[in-house]
Amino acid sequence: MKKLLLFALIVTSIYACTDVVNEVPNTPFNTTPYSFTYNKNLLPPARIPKDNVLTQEGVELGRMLFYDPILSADSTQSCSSCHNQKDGFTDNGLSFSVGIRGTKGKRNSMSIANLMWHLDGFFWDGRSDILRHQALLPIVDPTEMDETIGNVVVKLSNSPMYKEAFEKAFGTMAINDETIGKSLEQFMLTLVSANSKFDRVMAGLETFTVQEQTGRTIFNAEAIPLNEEQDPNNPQNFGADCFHCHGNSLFMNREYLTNGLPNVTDLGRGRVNGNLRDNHKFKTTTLRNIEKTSPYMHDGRFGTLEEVVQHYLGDMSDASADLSNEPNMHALRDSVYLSEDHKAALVSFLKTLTDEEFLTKEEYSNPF
Amino acid sequence: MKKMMYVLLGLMAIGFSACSPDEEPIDQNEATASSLKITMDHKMGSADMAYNEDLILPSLESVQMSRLSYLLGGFYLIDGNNNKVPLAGQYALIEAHKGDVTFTLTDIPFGNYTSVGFSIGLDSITNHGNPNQYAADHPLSPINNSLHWNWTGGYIFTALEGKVVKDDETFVFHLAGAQNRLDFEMPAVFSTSATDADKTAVITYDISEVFKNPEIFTIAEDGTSSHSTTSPVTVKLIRNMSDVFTKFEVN
Repeated sequence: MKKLLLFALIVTSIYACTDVVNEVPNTPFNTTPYSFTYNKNLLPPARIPKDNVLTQEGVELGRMLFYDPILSADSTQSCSSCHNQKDGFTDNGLSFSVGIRGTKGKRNSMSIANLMWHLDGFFWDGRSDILRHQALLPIVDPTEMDETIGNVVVKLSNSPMYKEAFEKAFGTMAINDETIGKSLEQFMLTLVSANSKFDRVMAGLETFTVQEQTGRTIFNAEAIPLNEEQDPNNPQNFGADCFHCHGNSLFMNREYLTNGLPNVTDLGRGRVNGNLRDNHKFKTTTLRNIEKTSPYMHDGRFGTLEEVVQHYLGDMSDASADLSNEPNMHALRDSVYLSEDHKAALVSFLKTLTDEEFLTKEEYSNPF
Repeated sequence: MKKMMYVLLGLMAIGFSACSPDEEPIDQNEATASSLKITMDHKMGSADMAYNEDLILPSLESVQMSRLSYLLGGFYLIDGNNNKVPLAGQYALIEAHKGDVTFTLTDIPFGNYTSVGFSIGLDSITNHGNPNQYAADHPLSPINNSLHWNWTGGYIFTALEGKVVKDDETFVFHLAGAQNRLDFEMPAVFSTSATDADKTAVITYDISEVFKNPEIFTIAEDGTSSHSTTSPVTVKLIRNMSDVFTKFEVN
């Protein structure tokens, strides 16, 4: 009876002290917290789902799945097939990725850097609200991995290596769509790019060259109509207006926008939400590692940064989307002029966003 | 056995009271301060504001507005003893064109209040602070609000964008700069208590006021963009905005 009393006392005490707002899951198995080391002055606070706190075991499992072609129907395609680390986790210079059985995709492979700070959806058209759901869609896409989640579960469940990895990460050998999605989410959330030259300059560790600084000024200056009173040597007078959409330290925003491209047949965001005003609009992508993520735009139509800059300087009168519904782009169309030197300066600034550590970091690489 | 049950009950009582203060379960129903949930009701004159639809400005120009975003800060209340009760560190991002028009002021001490004060815009220190201190979904996160102005630092306090219907000419009014922060104080009579802690309110914002008092703003003549914090366009719009809030009703 004394043991019963002692047991009742312990159980009651534990129950009474349970912290109901604790974000760390009270798991009956041992996991190791995953910690970040980025400069918090340069990027916002980490944004980790409360129901999927990062653990070293979960991240490592996600990394294995990311690089394993077991997710595809014929074991030829992995996530990394189209998201190559050295290319800023994009696709080897291809406009459209090639999926299973040589099937060509419909859009350019997106960078997956700094996903934890993405608001309002994933993919070019934002058709997935949550990263763990996004992670599963390429598996079942006929043009990518063309597999069923059921088959993936069977294959992983037949693997002693994965059974052990899932048990370490989630405390269960029961493999399912939720744990697959959550582990891929965990790995992708760790892909933080924050050690480019830009970051080091902002941290006071390096300095821009004169050309890069000029490019930065142009990047952050508003496009204003030229007039005779302007000093032609002041780059502030020749703003490229990049910052309206790429202005923060992540060089992206949460919007789906048009950027004046002609001959766009892809309805983009409009196809997802049915809003005609959103036709031909796509997610504003990050410019981090932009030097390494060519080709550019949702359809990979531009092979170089110089072509991209020229697009924004050029005639947009044949844009597929109505630019009068996109006032900032309309103003850009009317105002921007850059000399050849200023174009080169802008490109040189964009190249300061290349993060070699991110492109080569062991923790992000193929574990097999 | 009955005696044993009493002992058990006693031990359980000890167990429930054994936690340190930090660990003590919180009664979610017992309020320690009140809140005020505010909805911004945007009007064009007396009509409900509509985005991407034809509207007539006081200048009689026909326009479509596609964006009205603004930042509110500097919140405070005036209590029944005429004391100022600051609600420090609370901000709101309003994206009227997206329907994001509601925010909640929290940590309001129980009491009687007669007025509410706030600003369109931010104080200088907040305006020029490191925006990366804020979580991505915070009102002041540039990722969230697309209102951060790198080229001079700080935030756009109001972004008003659209087009003139006649010729599809677009207008982009981005109003910023410490000198262009607008301070408001409006009557707001209400009381809060432990039994009546969660209040709601509606603030009416008449967008036509941006374009008329004290001077009519004509896009075709005054300009289609603000360009700087001191341009004539900015100065005129800011002056007109001093009476955009026409009503504050606490329910």
